[in-house]
Amino acid sequence: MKQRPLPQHRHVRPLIVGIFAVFAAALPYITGNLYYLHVATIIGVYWVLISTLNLLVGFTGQLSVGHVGLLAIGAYAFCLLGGGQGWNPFLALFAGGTICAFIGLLLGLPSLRLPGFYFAMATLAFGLIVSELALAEQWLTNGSVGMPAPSFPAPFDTPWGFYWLVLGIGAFITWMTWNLARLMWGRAMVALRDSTVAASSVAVPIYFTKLMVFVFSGFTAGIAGGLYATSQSYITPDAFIVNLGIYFFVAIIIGGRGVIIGPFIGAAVLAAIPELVGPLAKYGTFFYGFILLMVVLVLPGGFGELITNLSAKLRREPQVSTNIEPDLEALRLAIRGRI
Amino acid sequence: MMPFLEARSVVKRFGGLVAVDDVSLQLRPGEVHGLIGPNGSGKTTLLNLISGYYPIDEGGIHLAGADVTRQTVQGRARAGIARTFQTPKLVLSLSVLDNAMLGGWPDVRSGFLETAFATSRPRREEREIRDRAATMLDGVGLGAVLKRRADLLEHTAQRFLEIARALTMRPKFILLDEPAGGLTVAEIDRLAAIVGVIRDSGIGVLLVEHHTDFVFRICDRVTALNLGKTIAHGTTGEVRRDPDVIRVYLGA
Repeated sequence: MKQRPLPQHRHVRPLIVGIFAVFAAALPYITGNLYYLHVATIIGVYWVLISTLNLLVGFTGQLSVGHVGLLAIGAYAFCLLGGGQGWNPFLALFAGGTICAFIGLLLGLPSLRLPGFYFAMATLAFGLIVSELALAEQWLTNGSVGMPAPSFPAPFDTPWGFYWLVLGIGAFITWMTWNLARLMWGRAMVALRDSTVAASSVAVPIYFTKLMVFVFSGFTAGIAGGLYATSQSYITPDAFIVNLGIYFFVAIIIGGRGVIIGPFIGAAVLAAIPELVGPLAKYGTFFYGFILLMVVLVLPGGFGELITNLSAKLRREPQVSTNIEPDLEALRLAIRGRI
Repeated sequence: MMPFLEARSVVKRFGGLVAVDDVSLQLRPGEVHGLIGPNGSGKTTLLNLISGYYPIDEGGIHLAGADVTRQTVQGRARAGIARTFQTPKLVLSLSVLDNAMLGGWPDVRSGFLETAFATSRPRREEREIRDRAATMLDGVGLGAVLKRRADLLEHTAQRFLEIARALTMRPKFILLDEPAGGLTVAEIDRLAAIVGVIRDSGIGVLLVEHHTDFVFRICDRVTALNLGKTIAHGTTGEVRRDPDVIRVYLGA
């Protein structure tokens, strides 16, 4: 076998992840400000949804703008089961995720066969319908009055305790998306996004793969819904307007598709803008639109691509000649499976 | 039952046009079967019918005696039919190694959740497929550019990468759609050597090609099409001397 250049800087990524993990875990000690902690918690909640939505939108190329509907269903399921029915909050949270996974399955079964644009419209319609139902079905949702959200038992009943809970769930889901993206399923997702012809020629089950990703992202959207409800203490239908679904989508565009951690930047921007601009709150959407415009015009691949390109520059991949000289003996052994 | 890949009396119509008209051919393990004919003679259409990209109108496709006519593209790929494309179909945003590893997909048994939790099976499959794909890439001469994005490859390298991906599937039969297109004379020699190794390893090769000298050099048997119909088939020597082939195709 030929000599390959050794990967340099192989410790850089674990180091960055480690530093970030320590920083995130220690955040309550770093800032005593509960308000910042609240913003960080919201970023984490959005991330729970956006990280897997990125698998769907960024990796698999299915443009869903209706995940806010799943977030709403997860939030209401959590409040109804954990509050009114008196379930254990963790059980209610998991049940909310499971319900959303099932609804994702029902929504995905017909709509994932549609070409991209029509799939996006179907998910938009779903988001609108859920938003209207939350308002109209008062017997279930209390209509515009809303309902209180249960909080989690100790030690997760304090702002920092809840923050750590969200951080833990977010880290766990990030780990799962990372596994999916780096192993064979991730290659299948990207393959069917970029070339269905190539994907089918190597036996990738295109519809089934899309469906699995959609159901998984539905599950975590439901989990995010429950966490969102607790972070707000009280939910009303106007928390789940369809704009939010579009923001999730935009967070991925800003973050950059096909990079696991890229949309985290988008999630942070999404959560931070309405909170941090304070007196300019009514311009929150303006800032969001402005950033989106800048990204699309200046950085079409999003921040994720910027990071990827920079790290590729850092690695300085040597420009080897591509004069192809087959090694027939190696090929013979490879085909016969004797390596 | 002999382990052949057969097209039996295949018919394909596009509207009023009969693109493939009652064509039969038989691929055998360890043989290179050439499929020649002028533009529009139905070569690529026939390849698409065998690999399942087009639904068939009449006739059938049989693999080792089993009828795969109603199987999906994916089903046939899993059954051991691999192919390349006239214009290379690669996943351009992935690396060379990742592209070749896609050929390992038929062997993936790990489910979605298993993969999400990175249990031992998906990790083991990942290692096995990575090793297999890397050795195939070494074999076709792309071992030095494993990490390069596929869109940065030259045309010839893309063609060879497609062959490596198809071989990573460990197919019984491999269908090559004009693999010599756009290659220099020296590169065609390398391609011929690779096809020779594939054949000697017991894989059946269908070679759809324009370059007749290339076909006549490496094929064991040849089928010549014109306007969707078979005008000659037999050993390379027979087809080469066939008066119809000379008239229609070689333009003599």
